[in-house]
Amino acid sequence: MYEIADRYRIVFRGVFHERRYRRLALVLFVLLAAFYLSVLPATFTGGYVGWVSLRFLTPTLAFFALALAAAAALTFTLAVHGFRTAAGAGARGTGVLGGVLAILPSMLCCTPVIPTLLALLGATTPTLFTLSGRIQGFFATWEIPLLAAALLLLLGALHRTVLRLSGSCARRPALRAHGV
Amino acid sequence: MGVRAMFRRRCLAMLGAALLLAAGPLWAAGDGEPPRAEAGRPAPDVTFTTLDGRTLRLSDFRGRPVMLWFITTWCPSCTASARELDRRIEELDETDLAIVVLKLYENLGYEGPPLARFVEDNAPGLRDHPRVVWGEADFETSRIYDPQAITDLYWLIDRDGILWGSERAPAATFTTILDFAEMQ
Repeated sequence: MYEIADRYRIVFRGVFHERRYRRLALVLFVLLAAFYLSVLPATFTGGYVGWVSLRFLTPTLAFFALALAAAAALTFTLAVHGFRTAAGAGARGTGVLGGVLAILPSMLCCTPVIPTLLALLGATTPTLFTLSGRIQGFFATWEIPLLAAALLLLLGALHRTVLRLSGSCARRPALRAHGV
Repeated sequence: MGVRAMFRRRCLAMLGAALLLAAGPLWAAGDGEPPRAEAGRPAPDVTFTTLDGRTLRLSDFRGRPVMLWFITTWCPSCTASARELDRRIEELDETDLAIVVLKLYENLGYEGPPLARFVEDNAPGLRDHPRVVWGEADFETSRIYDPQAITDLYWLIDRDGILWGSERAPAATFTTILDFAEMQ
């Protein structure tokens, strides 16, 4: 446990002692927070996103929006550092999956997306009146667990990126200068 | 038969085939086609069952502007819209707008609370409001007004029974409803 915490401390210090990475992480956090804060409440606005959806922001959704933005911003910044230092990006697929999963409930529930997709796939009207509700209802019912799963995926991606960077930091002078 | 005559006959045959193909959809759109709600056209008359068991027709509201709103009781957007209407219903005081709220056929295939419970939980002030009628739509009514099965969709119908247009999510588009009601 201490070893893991130590790895996080070393990687974060090593990466964020550089101003450009601090700035990148901050910009990404602000952009992603604005995105998630306006998109997540779209479950209550039939998919309409923007100022109108911000009115329907709940404390739970605000928590998830900020946590998702923070996890994604950190993961992406560390991944950029990994690319530049040839350490690799870590779990890119997991991170992208988490980021996309987070917006599925608000984009698929109570919007025309699912009915339109089903109609494009050739669903008849009676099928639409039974199947589209089942799919949208699933996303409505499991919205919070899905957001939690998305956050876990992003945190997992962050963790794997930290492990990858800390595993290769012995080869990199920038991190070695910070105690490795 | 000369070459020119054969060419003329072929052209006539192709023209005939083209006319037949074009006439197919026109024939299908004739009397046999079930009615469908379209902006700018008269609102198809439909029946529905209210919460207290009465059967009403949409034409019973002729002479008043109507908001015909289709919901499902599991949908968060419908919940938010019901709360918004409950909170802002007084803004419609100066208007004659009638609000008909219908649960879509079979709740769109997903179980949710009964309509009465939905009203009690989200819009108790609208339960017996003189402007608002709550009811359930059968398959035919749902299909005519919401063929794509989109929940939280509403139609605005003017005093003459002409469909003005449709929108979604009254929670996000309340000003559209207000503007329409004030314009009538």
